[in-house]
Amino acid sequence: MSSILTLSDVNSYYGKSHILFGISLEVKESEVVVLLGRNGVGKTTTLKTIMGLVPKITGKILFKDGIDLLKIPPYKKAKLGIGYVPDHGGIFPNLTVYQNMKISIKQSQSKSESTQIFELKDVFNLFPQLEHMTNRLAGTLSGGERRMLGIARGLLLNPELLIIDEPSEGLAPNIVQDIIEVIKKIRSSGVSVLVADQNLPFVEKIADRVYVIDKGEIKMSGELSELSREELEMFLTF
Amino acid sequence: MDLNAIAFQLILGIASAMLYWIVSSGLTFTFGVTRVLNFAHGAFYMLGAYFTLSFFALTQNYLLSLFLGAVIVALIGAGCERGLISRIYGLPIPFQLILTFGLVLLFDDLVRIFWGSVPKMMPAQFIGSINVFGRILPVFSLYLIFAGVAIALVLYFLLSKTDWGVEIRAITVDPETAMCSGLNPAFLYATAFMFGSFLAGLGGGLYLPISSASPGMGEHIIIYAFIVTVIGGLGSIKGAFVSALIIGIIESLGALFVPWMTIALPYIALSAVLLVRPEGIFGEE
Ligand SMILES: Nc1ncnc2c1ncn2[C@@H]1O[C@H](COP(=O)(O)OP(=O)(O)OP(=O)(O)O)[C@@H](O)[C@H]1O
Ligand SMILES: [Mg+2]
Repeated sequence: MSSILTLSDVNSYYGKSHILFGISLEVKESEVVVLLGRNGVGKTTTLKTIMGLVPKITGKILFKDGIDLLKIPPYKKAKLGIGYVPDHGGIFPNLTVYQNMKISIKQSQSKSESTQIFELKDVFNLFPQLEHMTNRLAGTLSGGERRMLGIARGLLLNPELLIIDEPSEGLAPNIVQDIIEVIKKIRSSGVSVLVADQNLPFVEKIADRVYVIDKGEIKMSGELSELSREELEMFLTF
Repeated sequence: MDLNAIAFQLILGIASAMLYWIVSSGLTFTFGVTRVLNFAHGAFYMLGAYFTLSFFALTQNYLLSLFLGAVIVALIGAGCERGLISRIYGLPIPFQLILTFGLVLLFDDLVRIFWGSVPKMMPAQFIGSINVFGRILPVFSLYLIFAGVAIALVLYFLLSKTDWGVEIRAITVDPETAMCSGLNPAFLYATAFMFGSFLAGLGGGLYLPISSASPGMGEHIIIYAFIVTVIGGLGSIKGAFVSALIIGIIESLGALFVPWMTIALPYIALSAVLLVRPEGIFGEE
């Protein structure tokens, strides 16, 4: 399987504070990889680093066969094939649900290759509830609906890699179940997924592989079944 | 005091409100998108007046000159944004103040060099008057009201119905998410600034038929634009429209009832709003 994303020895800084220490990780084609760690250990910072939203970054970040992501401004990454759903949802509350989706659709329309996988109707298949609220202001959606709209927006970019920050956070169990199904379907359509999360039962249901992060460093990695339970729980509890 | 006099005064108030609205709409729009408070907005207003004058000398067509003048100002605005203002995004307010105030001084002197220091006028436009409530209303007032309403409708259409407007609103509320959705911030900020400058230029040209163009003419209007913008809520276009109407109307009614304190009225209104609602009528927080 070829590699979609590779981070090698990545360090990130906010001003003088050093947040990530030598992070190395890889996401391969059609794989769901989870960055697992408790609050404040650097999960969001790692995802933002990939998107180029952190002021100072060193190391190497490559996309597919050798595209140097550190040289590409954030706004060009959507067209390159990277979708990003941030932890606060990644929606525009002052726009309607449809306008939110339209912004993503327009990006993938102007893409060079015409291999469009996710169109509006596919997204409505994944998230039937969204179809009936296209004219509502996104700011009036519930937490779960927002999360779905955020993921829908990411998919409509038709990415090869979809990055989602804490998709299960603060959601009722039945909605978490919906999100699990959606992530599985995304994976089976051939899109690679990188998720940051701390909810182990959720992660167990979606992850092909995990990287456990603590205090800005990768401490363990591999398939969940291979990792020692005790060590995992040690890194996940306070 | 008869009702006719009040109604008539109201129309005059709405007409001057429309000038305040047009100039403030550009100021508040640019601020809403880029978070830069552009003191040079008044200078763009002045440039709009001068370019309209020069185009009129060439074409003898006022409306065409007004449009061309505003287009040139829009291009100058875009140039300033790309070359200078884009470099201070995210820096503290004093940087914005110093840079944009520097532009005011620069443009004032350039105007003196190219057009001279003596105020310039153009032949009167929209001459004539109609009888309203038994009084003589200059046609020019109706033209201002028409222009103000037209600009409000165009702004509404642009921001709610076009891709550009929707993208502008997206980057205004969440720049990071907008970027990660493929929207180019440099393009959106530059075009937003260009459009704000266009509105400033339009304001300068619109008032020309009954006033003269002179270096420094932007300073008076920019004070009003700031009052209107702050009362309406910084960054709120709807707020600018409503508060321009409030200022225009209390000024004109004030001239009728309390003529000795007309000049103070906008400042009193500003202080009152700031005391009750510091974020402005339609402001956030
Ligand atoms: N903009 C910033 N400026 C300075 N420090 C920051 C900034 N953003 C995050 N940090 C710091 O970086 C560290 C890692 O934060 P990060 O948000 O990446 O953690 P996280 O693993 O995503 O946590 P959570 O599970 O709470 O979302 C924290 O100590 C945080 O305080
Ligand atoms: Mg986080």
